[in-house]
Amino acid sequence: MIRHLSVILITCLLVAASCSTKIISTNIYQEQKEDLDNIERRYEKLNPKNHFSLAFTDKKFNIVSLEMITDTLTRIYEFNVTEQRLADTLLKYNYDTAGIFYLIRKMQQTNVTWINSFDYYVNDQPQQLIILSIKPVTVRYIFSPPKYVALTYFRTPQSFDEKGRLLDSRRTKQVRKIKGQVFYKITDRICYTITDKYR
Amino acid sequence: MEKDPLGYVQFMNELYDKGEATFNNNHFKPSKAVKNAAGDLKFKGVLDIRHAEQMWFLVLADKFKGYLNFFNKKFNEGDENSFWASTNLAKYDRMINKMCGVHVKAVGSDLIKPWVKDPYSYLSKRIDSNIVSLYINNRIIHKKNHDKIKFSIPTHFIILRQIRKEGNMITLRYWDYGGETEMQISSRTLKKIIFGIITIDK
Repeated sequence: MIRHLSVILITCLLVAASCSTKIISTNIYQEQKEDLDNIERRYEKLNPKNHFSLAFTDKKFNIVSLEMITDTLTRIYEFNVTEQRLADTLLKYNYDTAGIFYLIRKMQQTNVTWINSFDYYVNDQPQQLIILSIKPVTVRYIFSPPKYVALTYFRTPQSFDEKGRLLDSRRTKQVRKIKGQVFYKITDRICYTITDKYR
Repeated sequence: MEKDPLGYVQFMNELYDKGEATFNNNHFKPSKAVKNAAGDLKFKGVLDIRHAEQMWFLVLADKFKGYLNFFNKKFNEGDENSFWASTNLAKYDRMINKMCGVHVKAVGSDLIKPWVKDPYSYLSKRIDSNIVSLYINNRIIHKKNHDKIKFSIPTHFIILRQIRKEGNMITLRYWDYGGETEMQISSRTLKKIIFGIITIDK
């Protein structure tokens, strides 16, 4: 009896472990296109003045991790979005407080967990992209990892192979990886990937 | 690098010109695969255009080995992202000792946290007279997913520059690669993230 039970238990565990997390919507970008593009545009406008990134570190989108980035120092502080300390800190370091609060509200409404800009190099020339992660509605099995949808917004049109994978450049057939992930085409400037990390 | 910038530059030039060089009595003769990879690493941010630093990181990982490198000691393309490049606490101590020729004292280990009752007092006592490096689990403070259960293993080595305390909040300023980072964490979190404290003679 005990032997049978352990066989059943091990089988259940193996089945559970082999099931991966399922994202309910298959078309997140198109469904929320307007909001997502709006968040990206707003961030692109705010970021060059004072470079920063925002990440929600809790599932309820109440705790925000703010990174204030300069050439020599990155300050990382975590706040509850209702805390006065958040506004005080943004004011102290000359950030656009109203603009960042608007961005935080939009991110909460659209389930965007993280937004940042990312430097990369093509033929030794610096380029920049904006990357944001969305926490989608998922069906998750025990032991399966979480799933996030990451979107990258490039400033210029990119090259892709026949499978829609982002390439390093037009001249090479090498697949470009960003944070170790292969990205796929949505438009010639926007790509996506499914990942178990939001940043 | 801070102590002997000229020696570092001479070493790098010699390594680039002759394919082998000596730094502080440590002879480096990287394999052909390492030489080919140096300068060609991609998708690593600013390191993509810092070819000399690519060479420096690769030759260090190629020379010094620890138990984490046991199954992958020989460099092949792409191994910069694998266990070939990983560093455990004892290997880190050995590297500093041999490369800088200084006395290194460490508490902690790769899996069990150091037996230090009050890490803040321990660190603030040593930071002025020594270089203090920490072996930390960065995934707790720099979360990458929303799961509450996380593997409790160290992930990063950092050089502690400043530490101060206001109430229960501790502000750390540290250097890892590139610029410095300043971060506020609670005393409890500080205790939770530290796996090793490495004190290096100045």
